Amino acid sequence: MKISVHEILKSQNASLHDDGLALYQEVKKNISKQIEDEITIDFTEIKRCSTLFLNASFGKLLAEFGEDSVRKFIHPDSYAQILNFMDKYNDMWDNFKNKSNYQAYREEAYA
Amino acid sequence: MDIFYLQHNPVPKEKSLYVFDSNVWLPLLGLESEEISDRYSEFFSKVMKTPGCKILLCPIQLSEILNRLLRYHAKIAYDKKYSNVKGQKPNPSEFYKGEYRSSEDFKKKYATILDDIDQYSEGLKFCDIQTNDFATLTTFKGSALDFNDNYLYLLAKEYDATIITHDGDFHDLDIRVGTYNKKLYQAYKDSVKPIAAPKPQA
Repeated sequence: MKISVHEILKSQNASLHDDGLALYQEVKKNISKQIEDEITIDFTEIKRCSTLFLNASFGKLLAEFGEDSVRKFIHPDSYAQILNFMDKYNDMWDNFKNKSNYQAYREEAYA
Repeated sequence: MDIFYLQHNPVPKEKSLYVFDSNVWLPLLGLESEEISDRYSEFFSKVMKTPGCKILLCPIQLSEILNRLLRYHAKIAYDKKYSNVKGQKPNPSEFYKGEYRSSEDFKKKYATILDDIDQYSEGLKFCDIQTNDFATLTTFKGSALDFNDNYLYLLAKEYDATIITHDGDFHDLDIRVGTYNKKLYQAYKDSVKPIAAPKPQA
């Protein structure tokens, strides 16, 4: 199954929290309790993407379905035109994976 | 002083100006805090989508945000490199200046933070306060503000903007404040309650 970010957002920018939630909801609509089929998140026509968007979409999917399922079934695609996409995507993943390890650093940043 | 509670789902008025406190900027730029991230992110989306609304961003705040985020990433990089190293190694501060700032990771992180901020540039107004009076800059209005908080207060005051913050220190100020911090909101509500009239004597 392919889900087009551009079709959901009707915009070339995937920047806001709401945009990320819209993608998250669309993915959720297409799966039941567990992810059983591959889902491609298609970024064709998207020019910019923010960390905030990735946290509200992929971050929430990771929290709900777990790392193994998301890694196996949900894949971003056609994002080469988006500056720093993979850096942001990897950071989002790393922050999720090491949430408790990085807690002290987060608290220090917020202090 | 006027504090409104973001839990009440307020809609930003067109052409309103806001100052987002640095602790609110951090989750918007990827440093999530479970307690507050989604709530302020929702309001940020509303502001960005409301015609004419702008979030003010001054150089001192931009510097603070960049430093906090980059030092967060530096600590992670330090751990990855040195957590298993025994014997001689730099301390985190030496690592930041001596190694991290010239690393590829620093360049990538810096570029991604700037790219994120730039994506919101239509809804941002880069500006600064006009005052350069030493006493104004260093005399804090609120009971518990620090220099940077006071600077944001002065910015909001000068532009008639609303501060969006989770920081309980932003009370007793003559500006509008929006928050999800229940304690801050409750303290404000308690402060504006009318004093109960004395009971009539029998």
